Amino acid sequence: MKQLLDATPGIGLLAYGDLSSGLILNSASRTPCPREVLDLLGEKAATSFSRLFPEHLARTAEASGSSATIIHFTEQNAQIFARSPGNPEDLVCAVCDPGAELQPLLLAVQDLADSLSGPE
Amino acid sequence: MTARERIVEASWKDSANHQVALLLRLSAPPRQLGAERRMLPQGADARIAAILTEIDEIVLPRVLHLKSGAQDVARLAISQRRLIDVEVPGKSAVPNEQGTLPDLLAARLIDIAQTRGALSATVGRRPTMPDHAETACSVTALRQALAQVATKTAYDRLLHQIEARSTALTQWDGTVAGNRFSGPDGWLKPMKTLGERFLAMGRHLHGDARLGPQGTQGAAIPISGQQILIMASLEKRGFAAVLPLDIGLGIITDWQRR
Repeated sequence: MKQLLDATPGIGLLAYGDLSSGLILNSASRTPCPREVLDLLGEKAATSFSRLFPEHLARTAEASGSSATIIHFTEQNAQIFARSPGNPEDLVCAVCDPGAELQPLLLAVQDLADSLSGPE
Repeated sequence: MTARERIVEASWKDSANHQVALLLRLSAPPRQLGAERRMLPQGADARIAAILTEIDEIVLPRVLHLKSGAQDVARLAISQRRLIDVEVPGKSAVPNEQGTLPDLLAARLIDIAQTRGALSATVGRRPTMPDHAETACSVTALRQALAQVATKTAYDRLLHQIEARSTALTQWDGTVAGNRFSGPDGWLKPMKTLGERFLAMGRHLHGDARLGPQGTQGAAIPISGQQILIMASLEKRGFAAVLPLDIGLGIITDWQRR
Protein backbone atom coordinates (compact mmCIF):
# COMPACT_ATOMS: atom_id res chain seq x y z
CA MET A 1 0.00 0.00 0.00
CA LYS A 2 2.88 2.32 0.86
CA GLN A 3 4.49 1.46 -2.47
CA LEU A 4 1.33 2.30 -4.40
CA LEU A 5 0.96 5.55 -2.45
CA ASP A 6 4.55 6.52 -3.26
CA ALA A 7 4.04 5.62 -6.91
CA THR A 8 0.74 7.50 -7.31
CA PRO A 9 0.88 11.28 -7.16
CA GLY A 10 -2.50 12.79 -6.34
CA ILE A 11 -3.39 10.39 -3.53
CA GLY A 12 -2.80 11.63 0.01
CA LEU A 13 -4.08 8.58 1.85
CA LEU A 14 -4.64 4.97 0.92
CA ALA A 15 -6.42 2.55 3.23
CA TYR A 16 -7.67 -1.02 3.42
CA GLY A 17 -10.75 -1.83 5.43
CA ASP A 18 -13.60 -4.19 6.17
CA LEU A 19 -17.02 -3.13 4.87
CA SER A 20 -19.07 -5.30 7.22
CA SER A 21 -17.66 -3.56 10.29
CA GLY A 22 -16.87 -0.23 8.60
CA LEU A 23 -13.35 -0.35 10.06
CA ILE A 24 -10.12 0.73 8.42
CA LEU A 25 -7.56 -1.96 9.17
CA ASN A 26 -4.44 -0.60 7.51
CA SER A 27 -3.46 2.70 5.95
CA ALA A 28 -0.62 4.67 4.45
CA SER A 29 -0.62 8.46 4.17
CA ARG A 30 1.73 11.25 3.17
CA THR A 31 1.04 13.15 6.40
CA PRO A 32 0.00 11.60 9.72
CA CYS A 33 -3.72 10.87 9.80
CA PRO A 34 -5.62 10.78 13.12
CA ARG A 35 -7.55 7.59 13.94
CA GLU A 36 -10.80 9.62 14.07
CA VAL A 37 -10.43 10.53 10.39
CA LEU A 38 -9.88 6.89 9.46
CA ASP A 39 -12.94 5.90 11.48
CA LEU A 40 -15.07 8.48 9.64
CA LEU A 41 -13.71 7.25 6.31
CA GLY A 42 -14.59 3.63 7.09
CA GLU A 43 -18.04 4.64 8.30
CA LYS A 44 -18.66 6.73 5.17
CA ALA A 45 -17.61 3.87 2.89
CA ALA A 46 -19.87 1.40 4.70
CA THR A 47 -22.80 3.87 4.57
CA SER A 48 -22.19 4.53 0.88
CA PHE A 49 -22.19 0.90 -0.15
CA SER A 50 -25.14 -0.07 2.05
CA ARG A 51 -27.40 2.92 1.37
CA LEU A 52 -26.36 4.23 -2.00
CA PHE A 53 -24.87 1.54 -4.15
CA PRO A 54 -27.68 -0.16 -6.05
CA GLU A 55 -27.25 -3.91 -6.11
CA HIS A 56 -27.96 -4.21 -9.82
CA LEU A 57 -25.10 -1.80 -10.54
CA ALA A 58 -22.83 -3.76 -8.22
CA ARG A 59 -23.75 -6.96 -10.03
CA THR A 60 -23.17 -5.34 -13.42
CA ALA A 61 -19.77 -4.02 -12.35
CA GLU A 62 -18.71 -7.26 -10.72
CA ALA A 63 -20.01 -9.40 -13.59
CA SER A 64 -17.64 -7.48 -15.83
CA GLY A 65 -14.82 -8.55 -13.50
CA SER A 66 -14.06 -5.10 -12.10
CA SER A 67 -14.54 -3.73 -8.62
CA ALA A 68 -17.63 -1.76 -7.60
CA THR A 69 -16.62 1.83 -6.96
CA ILE A 70 -18.07 5.00 -5.44
CA ILE A 71 -16.38 8.39 -5.56
CA HIS A 72 -17.40 10.95 -2.98
CA PHE A 73 -16.48 14.51 -3.79
CA THR A 74 -16.75 18.03 -2.48
CA GLU A 75 -15.14 21.23 -3.72
CA GLN A 76 -12.09 20.42 -1.62
CA ASN A 77 -11.36 16.74 -2.27
CA ALA A 78 -12.47 13.38 -3.58
CA GLN A 79 -12.54 10.00 -1.89
CA ILE A 80 -12.59 6.79 -3.89
CA PHE A 81 -14.07 3.65 -2.31
CA ALA A 82 -13.67 0.35 -4.17
CA ARG A 83 -14.69 -3.09 -3.04
CA SER A 84 -13.03 -6.25 -4.18
CA PRO A 85 -15.02 -8.29 -6.73
CA GLY A 86 -13.85 -11.57 -5.15
CA ASN A 87 -14.59 -10.60 -1.58
CA PRO A 88 -17.18 -7.79 -1.33
CA GLU A 89 -16.25 -7.12 2.31
CA ASP A 90 -12.74 -6.03 1.34
CA LEU A 91 -12.53 -2.30 0.84
CA VAL A 92 -9.91 0.06 -0.57
CA CYS A 93 -10.17 3.79 0.17
CA ALA A 94 -8.17 6.60 -1.37
CA VAL A 95 -8.31 10.26 -0.41
CA CYS A 96 -7.31 12.32 -3.44
CA ASP A 97 -5.60 15.70 -3.41
CA PRO A 98 -7.78 18.68 -4.40
CA GLY A 99 -8.07 19.00 -8.16
CA ALA A 100 -6.17 15.75 -8.82
CA GLU A 101 -6.89 13.99 -12.16
CA LEU A 102 -9.45 11.38 -11.11
CA GLN A 103 -9.34 8.91 -13.99
CA PRO A 104 -5.81 7.49 -13.37
CA LEU A 105 -6.46 7.44 -9.63
CA LEU A 106 -9.73 5.56 -10.14
CA LEU A 107 -7.92 2.94 -12.24
CA ALA A 108 -5.12 2.59 -9.65
CA VAL A 109 -7.62 2.08 -6.79
CA GLN A 110 -9.71 -0.37 -8.84
CA ASP A 111 -6.58 -2.34 -9.73
CA LEU A 112 -5.65 -2.54 -6.06
CA ALA A 113 -9.16 -3.72 -5.13
CA ASP A 114 -9.06 -6.27 -7.97
CA SER A 115 -5.71 -7.58 -6.76
CA LEU A 116 -7.22 -8.33 -3.34
CA SER A 117 -9.28 -11.06 -4.97
CA GLY A 118 -6.36 -12.51 -6.90
CA PRO A 119 -5.50 -16.21 -7.01
CA GLU A 120 -5.30 -17.79 -3.54
CA MET B 1 3.98 19.79 21.62
CA THR B 2 0.39 18.83 22.46
CA ALA B 3 -2.54 19.39 20.07
CA ARG B 4 -3.79 22.21 22.33
CA GLU B 5 -0.39 23.89 22.32
CA ARG B 6 -0.26 23.63 18.52
CA ILE B 7 -3.71 25.24 18.22
CA VAL B 8 -2.76 28.04 20.65
CA GLU B 9 0.48 28.66 18.78
CA ALA B 10 -1.26 28.68 15.37
CA SER B 11 -3.95 31.10 16.55
CA TRP B 12 -1.29 33.31 18.16
CA LYS B 13 0.64 33.35 14.87
CA ASP B 14 -2.55 34.18 12.91
CA SER B 15 -3.38 36.93 15.33
CA ALA B 16 0.21 38.23 15.32
CA ASN B 17 0.32 38.18 11.50
CA HIS B 18 -2.98 40.05 11.37
CA GLN B 19 -1.71 42.65 13.86
CA VAL B 20 1.53 43.09 11.91
CA ALA B 21 -0.38 43.51 8.63
CA LEU B 22 -2.65 46.05 10.32
CA LEU B 23 0.29 48.03 11.74
CA LEU B 24 2.08 48.03 8.38
CA ARG B 25 -1.01 49.35 6.66
CA LEU B 26 -1.70 51.98 9.32
CA SER B 27 1.89 53.18 9.16
CA ALA B 28 1.94 53.25 5.35
CA PRO B 29 2.24 56.75 3.85
CA PRO B 30 -0.96 57.98 2.11
CA ARG B 31 0.88 57.86 -1.22
CA GLN B 32 1.42 54.08 -0.85
CA LEU B 33 -2.24 53.47 0.06
CA GLY B 34 -3.27 55.62 -2.91
CA ALA B 35 -1.09 53.51 -5.21
CA GLU B 36 -2.61 50.28 -3.85
CA ARG B 37 -6.08 51.69 -4.48
CA ARG B 38 -5.24 52.82 -7.99
CA MET B 39 -4.61 49.21 -8.94
CA LEU B 40 -6.64 46.62 -7.03
CA PRO B 41 -5.16 43.11 -7.28
CA GLN B 42 -6.22 40.77 -10.09
CA GLY B 43 -8.43 37.81 -9.19
CA ALA B 44 -11.88 37.95 -7.60
CA ASP B 45 -10.81 36.62 -4.19
CA ALA B 46 -7.93 39.09 -3.87
CA ARG B 47 -10.16 41.99 -4.93
CA ILE B 48 -12.82 41.06 -2.40
CA ALA B 49 -10.14 40.83 0.30
CA ALA B 50 -8.87 44.32 -0.65
CA ILE B 51 -12.41 45.78 -0.57
CA LEU B 52 -13.11 44.15 2.81
CA THR B 53 -9.86 45.63 4.15
CA GLU B 54 -10.99 49.10 3.03
CA ILE B 55 -14.42 48.66 4.64
CA ASP B 56 -12.81 47.48 7.88
CA GLU B 57 -10.65 50.61 8.07
CA ILE B 58 -13.24 53.31 7.30
CA VAL B 59 -14.90 54.87 10.34
CA LEU B 60 -16.27 58.23 9.14
CA PRO B 61 -18.96 58.19 6.41
CA ARG B 62 -17.19 57.66 3.11
CA VAL B 63 -17.89 56.41 -0.37
CA LEU B 64 -15.53 54.00 -2.10
CA HIS B 65 -15.60 54.59 -5.87
CA LEU B 66 -14.62 51.54 -7.92
CA LYS B 67 -13.70 52.17 -11.54
CA SER B 68 -12.50 50.20 -14.52
CA GLY B 69 -10.53 52.75 -16.51
CA ALA B 70 -12.81 55.79 -16.72
CA GLN B 71 -15.98 53.74 -16.31
CA ASP B 72 -17.84 53.70 -12.99
CA VAL B 73 -18.26 50.13 -11.72
CA ALA B 74 -19.75 50.72 -8.27
CA ARG B 75 -20.03 53.10 -5.33
CA LEU B 76 -19.86 51.58 -1.86
CA ALA B 77 -21.31 53.59 1.03
CA ILE B 78 -19.33 52.83 4.19
CA SER B 79 -19.43 54.11 7.74
CA GLN B 80 -18.37 52.82 11.16
CA ARG B 81 -16.43 49.96 9.46
CA ARG B 82 -19.69 48.74 7.94
CA LEU B 83 -20.94 48.49 4.38
CA ILE B 84 -24.23 50.34 4.03
CA ASP B 85 -25.01 50.19 0.34
CA VAL B 86 -23.61 49.17 -3.03
CA GLU B 87 -24.74 51.24 -5.98
CA VAL B 88 -24.05 49.76 -9.40
CA PRO B 89 -24.85 51.90 -12.48
CA GLY B 90 -27.78 50.38 -14.35
CA LYS B 91 -28.88 48.17 -11.46
CA SER B 92 -31.70 48.80 -9.02
CA ALA B 93 -30.89 49.68 -5.43
CA VAL B 94 -30.28 46.91 -2.90
CA PRO B 95 -33.52 46.44 -0.92
CA ASN B 96 -33.01 47.43 2.70
CA GLU B 97 -34.65 44.39 4.25
CA GLN B 98 -33.03 43.09 7.37
CA GLY B 99 -31.65 39.57 6.97
CA THR B 100 -31.37 39.54 3.20
CA LEU B 101 -29.01 42.50 3.03
CA PRO B 102 -25.70 40.67 3.68
CA ASP B 103 -26.51 38.12 0.94
CA LEU B 104 -27.47 40.82 -1.56
CA LEU B 105 -24.42 42.94 -0.78
CA ALA B 106 -22.18 39.86 -0.94
CA ALA B 107 -23.63 38.89 -4.33
CA ARG B 108 -22.97 42.42 -5.62
CA LEU B 109 -19.39 42.35 -4.30
CA ILE B 110 -18.78 39.05 -6.11
CA ASP B 111 -20.14 40.54 -9.36
CA ILE B 112 -17.97 43.62 -8.95
CA ALA B 113 -14.85 41.58 -8.15
CA GLN B 114 -15.33 39.65 -11.40
CA THR B 115 -15.13 42.82 -13.51
CA ARG B 116 -12.82 42.26 -16.48
CA GLY B 117 -9.68 44.37 -16.68
CA ALA B 118 -8.00 46.50 -14.05
CA LEU B 119 -10.06 47.85 -11.18
CA SER B 120 -9.16 50.98 -9.18
CA ALA B 121 -10.60 52.50 -6.02
CA THR B 122 -10.77 56.01 -4.58
CA VAL B 123 -12.23 57.11 -1.27
CA GLY B 124 -14.38 60.22 -1.12
CA ARG B 125 -16.39 62.03 1.54
CA ARG B 126 -20.04 61.19 2.01
CA PRO B 127 -21.81 63.99 3.87
CA THR B 128 -25.20 62.26 4.00
CA MET B 129 -25.90 58.69 4.97
CA PRO B 130 -28.30 56.39 3.06
CA ASP B 131 -31.69 55.81 4.72
CA HIS B 132 -30.96 52.24 5.75
CA ALA B 133 -27.71 52.81 7.66
CA GLU B 134 -29.12 50.83 10.58
CA THR B 135 -29.00 47.62 8.52
CA ALA B 136 -25.33 48.06 7.58
CA CYS B 137 -23.14 44.97 7.40
CA SER B 138 -19.97 44.38 9.33
CA VAL B 139 -17.03 42.74 7.58
CA THR B 140 -17.67 39.59 9.64
CA ALA B 141 -21.29 39.39 8.43
CA LEU B 142 -20.13 40.03 4.86
CA ARG B 143 -17.51 37.26 5.09
CA GLN B 144 -20.19 34.79 6.24
CA ALA B 145 -22.54 35.86 3.45
CA LEU B 146 -19.73 35.69 0.88
CA ALA B 147 -18.99 32.10 1.94
CA GLN B 148 -22.67 31.16 1.55
CA VAL B 149 -23.00 32.85 -1.83
CA ALA B 150 -19.76 31.17 -2.99
CA THR B 151 -21.15 27.78 -1.94
CA LYS B 152 -24.32 28.32 -4.00
CA THR B 153 -22.29 29.59 -6.93
CA ALA B 154 -20.08 26.49 -6.81
CA TYR B 155 -23.11 24.20 -6.94
CA ASP B 156 -24.59 26.12 -9.89
CA ARG B 157 -21.24 26.00 -11.70
CA LEU B 158 -21.11 22.20 -11.32
CA LEU B 159 -24.73 21.77 -12.44
CA HIS B 160 -24.13 24.02 -15.45
CA GLN B 161 -21.12 21.95 -16.57
CA ILE B 162 -22.96 18.65 -16.02
CA GLU B 163 -26.12 19.86 -17.78
CA ALA B 164 -24.19 20.70 -20.92
CA ARG B 165 -22.64 17.23 -21.28
CA SER B 166 -25.12 14.77 -19.72
CA THR B 167 -26.89 11.93 -21.52
CA ALA B 168 -29.69 11.96 -18.94
CA LEU B 169 -30.37 14.39 -16.11
CA THR B 170 -32.84 14.65 -13.28
CA GLN B 171 -33.01 17.63 -10.91
CA TRP B 172 -34.95 18.07 -7.70
CA ASP B 173 -35.68 20.82 -5.23
CA GLY B 174 -36.91 19.49 -1.91
CA THR B 175 -38.11 16.05 -2.94
CA VAL B 176 -37.12 13.68 -5.71
CA ALA B 177 -40.81 13.14 -6.37
CA GLY B 178 -41.08 16.63 -7.86
CA ASN B 179 -38.08 16.17 -10.09
CA ARG B 180 -37.48 17.33 -13.63
CA PHE B 181 -36.07 14.76 -16.04
CA SER B 182 -34.51 14.90 -19.46
CA GLY B 183 -32.99 12.04 -21.43
CA PRO B 184 -33.90 8.52 -22.58
CA ASP B 185 -36.97 7.15 -20.72
CA GLY B 186 -35.06 4.07 -19.58
CA TRP B 187 -33.08 6.19 -17.13
CA LEU B 188 -36.09 7.83 -15.47
CA LYS B 189 -36.89 5.14 -12.88
CA PRO B 190 -33.33 4.13 -11.90
CA MET B 191 -32.28 7.76 -11.57
CA LYS B 192 -35.28 8.55 -9.39
CA THR B 193 -34.42 5.62 -7.13
CA LEU B 194 -30.77 6.63 -6.96
CA GLY B 195 -31.71 10.24 -6.24
CA GLU B 196 -33.86 9.11 -3.32
CA ARG B 197 -31.05 6.95 -1.96
CA PHE B 198 -28.58 9.80 -2.34
CA LEU B 199 -30.90 12.21 -0.51
CA ALA B 200 -31.37 9.69 2.31
CA MET B 201 -27.62 9.19 2.57
CA GLY B 202 -27.08 12.96 2.56
CA ARG B 203 -29.50 13.34 5.47
CA HIS B 204 -27.59 10.60 7.31
CA LEU B 205 -24.16 12.14 6.67
CA HIS B 206 -25.29 15.77 7.13
CA GLY B 207 -26.70 14.79 10.50
CA ASP B 208 -23.20 13.88 11.62
CA ALA B 209 -21.93 16.93 13.50
CA ARG B 210 -18.34 15.65 13.28
CA LEU B 211 -18.31 16.36 9.54
CA GLY B 212 -18.73 20.10 10.14
CA PRO B 213 -20.47 22.56 7.80
CA GLN B 214 -21.35 21.04 4.44
CA GLY B 215 -21.17 22.59 1.00
CA THR B 216 -21.94 20.72 -2.20
CA GLN B 217 -21.76 16.97 -1.59
CA GLY B 218 -21.36 14.68 -4.54
CA ALA B 219 -21.14 11.00 -5.34
CA ALA B 220 -20.08 9.42 -8.61
CA ILE B 221 -20.57 5.78 -9.56
CA PRO B 222 -18.88 4.32 -12.64
CA ILE B 223 -21.63 2.16 -14.13
CA SER B 224 -19.56 0.63 -16.88
CA GLY B 225 -16.22 1.22 -18.50
CA GLN B 226 -17.83 4.02 -20.52
CA GLN B 227 -20.39 5.74 -18.32
CA ILE B 228 -20.61 7.35 -14.92
CA LEU B 229 -23.54 8.44 -12.80
CA ILE B 230 -22.90 11.70 -10.93
CA MET B 231 -25.14 12.97 -8.14
CA ALA B 232 -24.71 16.13 -6.11
CA SER B 233 -26.75 18.15 -3.66
CA LEU B 234 -26.67 21.40 -1.79
CA GLU B 235 -29.27 21.88 0.92
CA LYS B 236 -32.60 21.01 -0.74
CA ARG B 237 -31.39 21.10 -4.33
CA GLY B 238 -29.84 18.17 -6.10
CA PHE B 239 -29.34 16.35 -9.37
CA ALA B 240 -28.37 13.00 -10.82
CA ALA B 241 -26.84 12.72 -14.28
CA VAL B 242 -25.37 10.12 -16.59
CA LEU B 243 -22.28 11.11 -18.56
CA PRO B 244 -19.45 9.50 -20.47
CA LEU B 245 -16.91 8.33 -17.84
CA ASP B 246 -13.93 10.45 -18.94
CA ILE B 247 -16.06 13.60 -19.33
CA GLY B 248 -17.72 13.16 -15.94
CA LEU B 249 -14.43 12.67 -14.11
CA GLY B 250 -12.92 15.61 -16.01
CA ILE B 251 -15.81 17.87 -14.96
CA ILE B 252 -15.30 17.02 -11.27
CA THR B 253 -11.56 17.74 -11.55
CA ASP B 254 -12.13 21.06 -13.36
CA TRP B 255 -14.79 22.05 -10.86
CA GLN B 256 -12.44 21.44 -7.93
CA ARG B 257 -9.73 23.47 -9.66
CA ARG B 258 -12.25 26.30 -10.32
